[in-house]
Amino acid sequence: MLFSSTRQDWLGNVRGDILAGIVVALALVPEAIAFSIIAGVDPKVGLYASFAIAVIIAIVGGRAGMISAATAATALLMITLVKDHGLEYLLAASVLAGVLQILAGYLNLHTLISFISRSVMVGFLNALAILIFMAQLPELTNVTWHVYALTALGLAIIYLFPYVPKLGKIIPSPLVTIVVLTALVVYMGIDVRTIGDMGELPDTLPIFLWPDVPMTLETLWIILPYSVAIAIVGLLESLMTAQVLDEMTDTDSDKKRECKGQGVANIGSGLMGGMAGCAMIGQSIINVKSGGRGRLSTMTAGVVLLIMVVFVSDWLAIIPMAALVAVMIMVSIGTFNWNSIVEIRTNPLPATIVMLTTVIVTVGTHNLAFGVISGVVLAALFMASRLREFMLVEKTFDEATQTQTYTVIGQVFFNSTEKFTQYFDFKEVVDKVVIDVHRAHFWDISAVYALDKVVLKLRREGVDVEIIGLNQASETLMDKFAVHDKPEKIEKMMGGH
Amino acid sequence: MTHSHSAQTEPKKWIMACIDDSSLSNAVVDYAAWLAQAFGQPLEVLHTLEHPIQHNSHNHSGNLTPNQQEWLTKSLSEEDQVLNKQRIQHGKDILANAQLRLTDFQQQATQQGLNGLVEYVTKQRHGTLTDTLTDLQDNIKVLVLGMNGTQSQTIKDANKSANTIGSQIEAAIKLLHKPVLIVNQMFSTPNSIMLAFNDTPGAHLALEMICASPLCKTLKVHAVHVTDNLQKGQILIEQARQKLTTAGVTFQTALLQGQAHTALLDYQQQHNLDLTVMGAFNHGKLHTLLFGSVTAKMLQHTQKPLLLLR
Repeated sequence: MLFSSTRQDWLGNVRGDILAGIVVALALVPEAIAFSIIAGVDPKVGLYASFAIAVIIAIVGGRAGMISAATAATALLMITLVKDHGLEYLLAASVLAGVLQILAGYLNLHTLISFISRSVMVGFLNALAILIFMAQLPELTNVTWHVYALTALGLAIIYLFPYVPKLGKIIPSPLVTIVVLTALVVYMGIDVRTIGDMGELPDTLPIFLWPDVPMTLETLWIILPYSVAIAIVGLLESLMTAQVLDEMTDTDSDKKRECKGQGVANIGSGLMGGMAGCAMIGQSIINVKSGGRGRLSTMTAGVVLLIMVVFVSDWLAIIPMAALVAVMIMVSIGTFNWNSIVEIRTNPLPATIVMLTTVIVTVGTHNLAFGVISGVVLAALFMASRLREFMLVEKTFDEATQTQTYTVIGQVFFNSTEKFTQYFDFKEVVDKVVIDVHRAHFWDISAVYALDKVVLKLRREGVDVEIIGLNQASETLMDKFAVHDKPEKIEKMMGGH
Repeated sequence: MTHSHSAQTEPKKWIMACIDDSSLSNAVVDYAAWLAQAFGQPLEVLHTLEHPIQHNSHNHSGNLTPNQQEWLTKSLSEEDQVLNKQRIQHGKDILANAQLRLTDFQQQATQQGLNGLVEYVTKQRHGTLTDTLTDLQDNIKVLVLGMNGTQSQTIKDANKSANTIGSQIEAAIKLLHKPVLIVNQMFSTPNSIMLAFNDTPGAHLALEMICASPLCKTLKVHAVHVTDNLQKGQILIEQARQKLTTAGVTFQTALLQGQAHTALLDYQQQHNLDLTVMGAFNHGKLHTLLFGSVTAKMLQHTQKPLLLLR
């Protein structure tokens, strides 16, 4: 399963995949370095990670053409671990995160992605964009005007170079930015910070090494919270990116395999001296835009990245940080969903609140998992409160028999029981009350309890109470029977509308 | 009575002919029509629209502009829309040609006073052949495919002299637990059949089918078994002989020695037999890895259509 792939997956688009893979590799280098800096480790950790993850996921991933590597989303979760315990613990945490992700795959946790509404997803991307941008701020504060000028020039090249006839569509503009800014800094002897100042760059191929941590329970308790967070956030971004690519390329992906694949890739990364990562939405979009579709594109991206890094690491060291910042600002702008700002005016208010909550919680905690969880919970609460509207009780009184009939229609559940009770007039003196519930749906025990209470109270006032249609209504108690894929049962339940 | 009732709830089964641009498509339609007529089954001619990755625009600018995702999704889907409309039209032309052949077939049958086709339809589906067959498998009675399959345009045949097997054929046969007729020549009405017989479920199924089919009353059947264990072979052949006699089929038997596929092909050439019926891919993965698959070798070397049963 994990290794099965068709000839089409690998060789269906050789030329397109290789060219796109090279374009992606060029953009991956600055990103991997930038994310290493976020996590507080040497650039080589992110570069080794990006190589390992891209190459492994090309083989075991569930979504052909998706790019995975070291990412901002996961890097943000590692900062304190690296600060307090050092690199080796980060490597161990990466391996453990991978194990958890494989487990999640086997437990079918990918199905939980259906709880993530569009608003939460947009909030996730916007929060990610904001965090990537914020991570660039240290490079832009307390610096000389040269840095601002270089960054502005870099951004101008990134966005304007593609308009140059012919060349603009052949040479990736982030590469042009890096080359031009580096040449400028070296030629004019401008004294600005360069990548070489940020830590060690790779000079050899990565080697397999077991993380140098004591194999004790204590170690486990140190790394476990980080691994859990990394595993969750990594899967969230990977599954969302897979969805985006599915939609973009009109093809399917295997989400369960993607979960397990991400796990294998993170274990591989940790053992090769790299940090944990996940799918990258920006790079995956760049890949598709450049014509990459197959597994070969992801593989090429990883291999080309390693070749470039190992053999030109001396040159990498002289790249000014301003060039990197310009590329990362581009990634941030590209990740942000700008339409979502316009849509605030047209979307229903709850959607906007869910989106903004996801963003605010994420930016506040620097943890995308918290943001997503708050968004999902809020969305569920809004849903429950809206569902409450779908319930009413009609009253008809029969003079001759002195009988009051209450007909309950719609959804009775924990959130609508109070409203349900309020429909009943306990003060009115009648001989008999009939409660017709055959068009109602009693979703949970709160609903059943509320009905019991109403009946008891009416009887206490001296009324004879009869409930009709209870069988149909209580059949909707979901816990008692499974409706799964039985159209006639669903029909029956929805008959109340 | 109960049997006919349960048959009603089952999906309708079709003789399914898969065609494309390849030169064999006419033959596929003809053989499928022959089968459909012989078995009195409805016939469906199917064209699958594969979606190869095509690039009209080469953009390696590598930057992310605002709202890139929405823009890219929109432009890619517009591109696909145009391409798919072209593909659908192209497929419709191919199917119209098949439709014409079938109308002719019907007319000829009526002229000769024979029963024609009970029903025939043409259809198109998006997706690869394997995906399509997975989706439709409950509706297939017999699948008819051309030897150089639906992918002949994308897989360049390096060696034109040997049979080029469409890359998806083997996958399709393994995936589908249904009889598959592989067509590799222009149509000529089969007069004789070689039943490659051995002690596998597929082969027994083939024997049952031949005994049950009204078609085989009009054909000469050669039941052939290849083995080095003549004693055991004799018993097998005897089994086949009894069944065929009871069914009233005109037949002869042969017990051959040597390599399965060469012996079978030599025999077929000697007696000029028009169609081979055999069980397919009976052995496990390990056996196939070590000894190679007889089915695959037959597919590679035979000059005559093959009806494979699993």
